[in-house]
Amino acid sequence: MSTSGTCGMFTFGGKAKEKIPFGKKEAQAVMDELSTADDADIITLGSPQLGINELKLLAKLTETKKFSRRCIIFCSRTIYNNAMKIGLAGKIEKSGVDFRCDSCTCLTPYVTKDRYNAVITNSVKGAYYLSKSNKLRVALKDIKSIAEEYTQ
Amino acid sequence: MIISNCRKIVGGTGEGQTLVTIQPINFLATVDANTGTITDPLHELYCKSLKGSVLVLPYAIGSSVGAYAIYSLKEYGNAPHAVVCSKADITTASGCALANIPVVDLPNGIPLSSLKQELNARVEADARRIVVGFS
Repeated sequence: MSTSGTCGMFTFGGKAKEKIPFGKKEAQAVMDELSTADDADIITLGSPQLGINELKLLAKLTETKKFSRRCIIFCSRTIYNNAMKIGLAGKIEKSGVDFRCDSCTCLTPYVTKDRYNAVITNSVKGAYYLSKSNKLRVALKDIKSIAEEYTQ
Repeated sequence: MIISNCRKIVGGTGEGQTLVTIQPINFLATVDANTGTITDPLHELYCKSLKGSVLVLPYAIGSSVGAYAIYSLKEYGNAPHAVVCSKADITTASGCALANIPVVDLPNGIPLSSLKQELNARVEADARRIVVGFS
């Protein structure tokens, strides 16, 4: 939402100066609009950066499995260090994932038009900027679908 | 025409032809710093160049990295010479401060549409005014 507006913070429920109706139908329309590819050679997760609960989910979904293509997780150094301490980062790395800390999916030179034509991501914000700024086609999917489709 | 009582956001003076839009601009996603042009086909300034203009817009939207996109425009020599907003946002203010581009907000009650396209304009931010239509 902050990508299409100029407001950096939104609240759900309670009193608000302006209300924006947004349900499953609107969410699906955004997903459809931003999905310009069915498949790609690289997966990026994060943007906003992944949190500890998303890492726990990913670890569960990829246990004993390997990604079939390159997968980069973007998360903060603090989250990564916490994930290391509890053995979570190691578990996920066993599935072939690379971590990039304190970096932006769209502004780092990892995912560029020179290297890839398309990217698979779970990030709506990432999909918008990877498409508009980086000129890549995007397969926008949720983490569960990505883990199911691209690990074996 | 002189528009007085503007709100100074970034000081300085900049002169050019007005490039007016009532649509907000996402500087990171929809401006090509290499050419200075708007790349979003859905934007009313599509294919227009910001270079050397007095850019008149309501405000910027999107990533705060848009500030660095504004700085990139300056580095590539494609930045507007001045910016006029209806209500400047943090991305426009910080980006233009970095790039040394004067910025003012229009006074309350003066709509963006009061400025027409391609008029000679000079933004005198420190004097809080815009001089429009001189030859």
